[in-house]
Amino acid sequence: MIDLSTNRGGRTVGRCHQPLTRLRAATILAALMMTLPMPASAHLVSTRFGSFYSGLLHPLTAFQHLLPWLALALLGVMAGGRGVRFGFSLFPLAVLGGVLAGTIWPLPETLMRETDLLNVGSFVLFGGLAALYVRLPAWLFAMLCVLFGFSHGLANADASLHGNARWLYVGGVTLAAYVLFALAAAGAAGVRDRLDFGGIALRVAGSWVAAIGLVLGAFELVRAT
Amino acid sequence: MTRLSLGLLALLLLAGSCRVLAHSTPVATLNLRATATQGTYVESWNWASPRDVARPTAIFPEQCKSEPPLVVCGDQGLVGALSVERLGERYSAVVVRVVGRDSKVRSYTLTAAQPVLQLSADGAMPWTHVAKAYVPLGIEHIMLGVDHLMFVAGLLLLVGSRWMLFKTITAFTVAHSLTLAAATLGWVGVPEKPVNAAIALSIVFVAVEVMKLRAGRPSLSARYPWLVAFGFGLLHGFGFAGALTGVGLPRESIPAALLFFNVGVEIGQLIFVFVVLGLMWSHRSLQVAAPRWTESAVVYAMGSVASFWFIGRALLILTPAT
Repeated sequence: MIDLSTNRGGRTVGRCHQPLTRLRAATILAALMMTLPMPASAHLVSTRFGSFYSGLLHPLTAFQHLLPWLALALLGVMAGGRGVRFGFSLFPLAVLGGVLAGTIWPLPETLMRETDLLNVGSFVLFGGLAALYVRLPAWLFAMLCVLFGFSHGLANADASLHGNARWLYVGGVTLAAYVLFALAAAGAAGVRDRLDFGGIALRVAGSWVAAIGLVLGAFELVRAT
Repeated sequence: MTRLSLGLLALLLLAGSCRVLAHSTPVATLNLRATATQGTYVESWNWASPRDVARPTAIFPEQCKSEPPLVVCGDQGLVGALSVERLGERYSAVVVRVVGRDSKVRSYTLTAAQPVLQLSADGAMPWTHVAKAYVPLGIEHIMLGVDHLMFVAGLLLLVGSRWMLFKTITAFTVAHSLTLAAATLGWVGVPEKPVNAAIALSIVFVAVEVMKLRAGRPSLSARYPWLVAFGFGLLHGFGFAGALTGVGLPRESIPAALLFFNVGVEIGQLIFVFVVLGLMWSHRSLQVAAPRWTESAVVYAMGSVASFWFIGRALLILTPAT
């Protein structure tokens, strides 16, 4: 069982529990994979598995959603037990609300661009807070989950779908939010509590998200002007 | 309460599972029959799509000219790259059947993962082509097979330890591999409609066993879930076989196609199991619990939907085919 009340604040305390070889190997492998040439398409979704899987993969194959969601899970872990419990329920529900709203009442182009900017802002906000290892009060974390869950849900909406396909797609996006938050939060809590440098690792991950968010934000601003 | 995650997953899977019919993999068949003229073939298509879309369009090797219904390839013959436009978007696979002047039939399968077929003069198909075509089809079949996934989810609710989980999943895998192979190779034949109805019934059975376990009355199934997995796994294997034969098997590559389709099914099944176990672990380790009644509600929902499927599929047995 992982004690969520523990907060190491990024300091290296305690003794080494296990060799770090695997983690290092995984980090090097991940870094190498990131250097591989990849197509620049935003989403790698194939529709062959139907609308449900299309919805499931839509946010998971776009780093505009994937990275802030991961950073939100980090923040949830930092916020403590109550915060992370809010995240498990409120974040998927907010995404559900957003994707439903965006599917039924599609946003005009201008508002959509502002929603995208807001989502880019979530990169910097979540990543920055995680990098600083800020322990948000549970209520504030809950509000972030609702606000940005809804905005990311809006950005994932697909108004072109009709009938069953629409509901399957909405279900897929919602499940993606739940699965990603749950797995990332549990993984982050495990890293923090089992590794000597766990807190630092979470802060580093947060800083990467924030840095990517800044680059993406600058790119969006240049494109907008 | 760590099983809430499994329940949520099952409920969302249920969202798309209201049809009584077993899931299908839309497949089209392109027939190319050699005529008396060297290098000339008659092109014909068989297709049926649940989404009512037009048949796919083939892109023939460079030297071939399409003059419907003929395909004229000249002296070189039907040799080179053959592909199908937008494969994977509307159709999962296209089976290409080439009937030579000697009446010898050669079958090939194209999928989104293997969209180009390299036709050679001797008609041989490398095993890499078979692997690229059939592994994704296996994954696709299990991922779209809500009934199979629900059964596996039910098994996960029944097992109590990692060792038992390993034994149960292995038993299910061995059993469905056996019947998949036997049915595909034509050693046994079981009509599809009763099999689909029985698969739905297997989910009802597992749901009832889970409820008994939760009520503190563990039956034989809870003590030996691998036995249930093996027994019903045999049944699910017939379901997989139906899908595989529906896709079409290249006669020369039946063992390889069977093997790679099964590998695809196992990959899909393992992905599902690991995601569910990961969610259970995350709930347990983060101490995120939900009211106890939600678990029961989820199991009842699984049982109810499976009962609905069973009744619908049983009625289909009585309905004469149109």
